Amino acid sequence: MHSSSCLRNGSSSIRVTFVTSDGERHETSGKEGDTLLDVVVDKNIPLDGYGACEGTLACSTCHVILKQEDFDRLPNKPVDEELDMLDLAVDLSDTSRLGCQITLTKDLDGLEVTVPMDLMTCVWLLLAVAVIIAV
Amino acid sequence: HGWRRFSSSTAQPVRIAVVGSGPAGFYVAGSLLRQLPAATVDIFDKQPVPFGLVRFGVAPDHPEVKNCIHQFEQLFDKSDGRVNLFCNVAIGSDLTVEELRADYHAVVMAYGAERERRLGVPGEQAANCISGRSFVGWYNGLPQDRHLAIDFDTDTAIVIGHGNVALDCARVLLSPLDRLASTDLSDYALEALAKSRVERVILVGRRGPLQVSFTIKELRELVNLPGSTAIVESTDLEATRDIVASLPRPRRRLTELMLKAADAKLKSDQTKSWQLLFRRTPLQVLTAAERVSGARFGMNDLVDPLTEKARAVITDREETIQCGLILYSIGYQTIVLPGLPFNQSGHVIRTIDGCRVEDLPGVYATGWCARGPTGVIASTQAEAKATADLICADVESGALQRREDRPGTEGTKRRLMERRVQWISWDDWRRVDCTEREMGQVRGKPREKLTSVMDIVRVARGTGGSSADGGGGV
Ligand SMILES: Cc1cc2nc3c(=O)[nH]c(=O)nc-3n(C[C@H](O)[C@H](O)[C@H](O)COP(=O)(O)OP(=O)(O)OC[C@H]3O[C@@H](n4cnc5c(N)ncnc54)[C@H](O)[C@@H]3O)c2cc1C
Ligand code: FES
Repeated sequence: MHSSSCLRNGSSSIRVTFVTSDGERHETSGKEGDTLLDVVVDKNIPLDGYGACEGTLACSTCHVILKQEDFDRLPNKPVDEELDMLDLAVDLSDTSRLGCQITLTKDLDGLEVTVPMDLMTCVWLLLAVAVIIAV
Repeated sequence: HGWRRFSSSTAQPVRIAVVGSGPAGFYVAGSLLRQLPAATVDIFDKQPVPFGLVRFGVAPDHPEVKNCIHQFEQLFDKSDGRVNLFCNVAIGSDLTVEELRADYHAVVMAYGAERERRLGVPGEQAANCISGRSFVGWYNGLPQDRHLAIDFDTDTAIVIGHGNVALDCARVLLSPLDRLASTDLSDYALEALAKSRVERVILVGRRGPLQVSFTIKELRELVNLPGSTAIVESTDLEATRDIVASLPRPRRRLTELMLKAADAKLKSDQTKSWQLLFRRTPLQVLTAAERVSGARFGMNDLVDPLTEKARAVITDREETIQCGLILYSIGYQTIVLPGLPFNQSGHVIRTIDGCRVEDLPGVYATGWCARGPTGVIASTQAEAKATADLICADVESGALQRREDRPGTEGTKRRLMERRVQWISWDDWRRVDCTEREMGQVRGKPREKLTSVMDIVRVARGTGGSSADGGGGV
């Protein structure tokens, strides 16, 4: 995909780290105004299937978990439609947000988020859910 | 940098077959191709076109959900010929599971759960008693359902089931036509819906408000649907008021929205309505002149009504509701292919660890055929990723026998040519895609689907085509 040209411009580069639940760290950066989804796409971060609906609040594959203090200082609070999608997210937590709804500001430099796609929890969770909702 | 973990043992080719081109199949293929640089993946589908329920299930007014197709397209654009598509090839008849096991190092079952669960009550064969699955297939241009006879000359429809498919059906029935006209809903369906008299949809579930399996996004869409008003029997919800605050978040927010809908003043300017009815088990489809005229329900009591697992116990109280159309959406089942083990219900492939097929080394299952028909694309995707990781682990550990090479794609092509099966490749599909978009453009829609297998094959082969006014139809 398109890689942004102004990324090397230090002043507009905001550092972000994606940590997968098996502990892998992807340190990267984006520019002000980018969403976390933009960063994953532009920087080709290998998170399979991340951002399936391309930021249209229709999938929850862009789910991230933030540290409480980061969660609290995000300027925009989630709207109903984001909460609706989050309710379907795997491993929902109290500090969950959708990556396509988090916009980078200078303030967020150094942000670290967890991408909760841990395989074994996923499989067991899904099996448990299947048992519960099987009609 | 995606190839980290498996770089040591990835030089040797690994030939993988994936059965099914829905989200499960595509996501598993994508993850395998990224993690195993020497892998080739062949994706099979019995439909003449790819994407499974993303094309034939997801409602036309959810175009954003279908954006995941762009990720699937990138797979072909970015994988340097390591991935092939074989549509119009049914595993179990055109090729067997045995043959795939012989031709490939690994076979991943990702073929969904496409059979509807039947009501199992007298009268269900009546005209206009239709499965939600067929109705969805019909409005989405599924070749096998495009000739479905369905009569909208009635004011009341009953939808049996409290899942998302039921809400999709209700929304399509009640949507103002202009809301649908700019979607990829098939033209013949649009024409039929334009003549619909349905203005009241009653959604009936076996259990109570705390056991519905639809999700909040779909409920909110119905609540906000222009032209329709919600009727929720608030007596059914009363008992939830005291405990709603203590429910887990998803269930809490969903229940709060139902309460809000129940408490809202009826929008008196709306001519259409939808209603949620709880605690009713269908007993009989009533008919007049062999056509649906209503349904008889038994009233249920609930054991442990305030828990997810509440059990419905039928009483001798009954109720009859008049209607001219019944859509039932009480679940999907997997057709377990010959050669695969299944669980007690007979409708899910039997696996260990949720994805290794029991007693068949090298065979895996993921998505709805492995888990049963629950969950959205996001959960299917997460599970497909987990399956791909397990396969990679088996490649790494040597559990996947691949000392000798396998015929893979060449073997498949030879068999299909011998059997004169006309498969549809990715390039073929691109031609179909292009034609469909052009046909859609003149109608102000994202696409007009081709709905006859013959038309699709013709366009795919570039042997003349369906003109802009062609395309399936009745
Ligand atoms: C009506 C409906 C609406 C939905 N709407 C949404 C939505 O809005 N948002 C959302 O997130 N999720 C939605 N879902 C759920 C979503 O579609 C599923 O989670 C997902 O499609 C499951 O993926 P799958 O690959 O396991 O199955 P499928 O998508 O069903 O794919 C299976 C594929 O295998 C093929 N196949 C079957 N048998 C064979 C065979 N013998 N040989 C070869 N190929 C075969 C089928 O043709 C099909 O293409 C909806 C589901 C339904 C039924
Ligand atoms: S990318 Fe789909 S909700 Fe964020």
